Amino acid sequence: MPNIVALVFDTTSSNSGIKKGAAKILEKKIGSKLLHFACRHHVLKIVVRAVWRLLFGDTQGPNNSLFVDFKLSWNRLNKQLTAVKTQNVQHPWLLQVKDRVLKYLLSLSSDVQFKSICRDDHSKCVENALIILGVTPPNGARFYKPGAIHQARWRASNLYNNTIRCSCSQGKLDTTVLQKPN
Amino acid sequence: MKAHSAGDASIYDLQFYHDMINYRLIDEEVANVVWHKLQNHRWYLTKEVVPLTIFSNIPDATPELKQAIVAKAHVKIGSTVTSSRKTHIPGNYFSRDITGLNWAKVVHLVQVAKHNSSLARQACC
Repeated sequence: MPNIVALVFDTTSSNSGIKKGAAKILEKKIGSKLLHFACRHHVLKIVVRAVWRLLFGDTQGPNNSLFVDFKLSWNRLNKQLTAVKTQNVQHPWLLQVKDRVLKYLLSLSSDVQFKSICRDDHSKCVENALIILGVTPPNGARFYKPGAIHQARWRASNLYNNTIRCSCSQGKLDTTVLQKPN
Repeated sequence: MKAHSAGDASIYDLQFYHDMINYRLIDEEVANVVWHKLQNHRWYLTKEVVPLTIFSNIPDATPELKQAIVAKAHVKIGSTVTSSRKTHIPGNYFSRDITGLNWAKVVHLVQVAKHNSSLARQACC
């Protein structure tokens, strides 16, 4: 018990509630103040979901309908790198951000520590982001067949958004799904 | 991708805030949605978490920044003000109506905090 100094938790109210939150109850049971380190993955998940809702509207049901369509049309898509639509960046500030992101993603690709702890989803996200920005990943460019597409898997939004973005030049994506016009 | 790194988290959070300020010039609607969500979760960036930046190795965590954090932490360590951390703050906390606020009480609390802070500095010296 005395070795416990911090709590890392999902930011849901059942964990972080002021009276009956799991963090509060654990603190009481242990009898000392603990460092509360809220999981950044879960904070950023909420941000990604909010942007998704703005762009595509609310999703009905446990599965995202856009991803369901994408999964069904997977076999018909051309997965070659030449068929990929990359992101064209022109704004000076965005060019700076692009350089910074590329530098960071490439450093992650060669980071042994990151590779040892990252999940497949994370490395796929890194590879997809590099492809979108027009850089071939160090281990080669490849696209992965969509797996679980339920909303509980928040990484699906990042992964399949990027893959759909790459294949949108093939004319399969109906632009009317966008709630927010460009 | 490195959200699990406690030392880097504060720097990356701050960088994200700054990026969203700049992104308003490009897509105000998206930037505002992100900003609003970050505001709601700002309280996770607590005063206990920020000092962990001194263990960060990323380039943005400059030695000057680490020194400034340590200097601030020294003042806090000597402070007699005990932390009364709240673990949950409602989403509208930062945009709440303050017309009915008891200003006399606020001024009194600020004076007490200042007094305790000056005592703490004297104790450090």
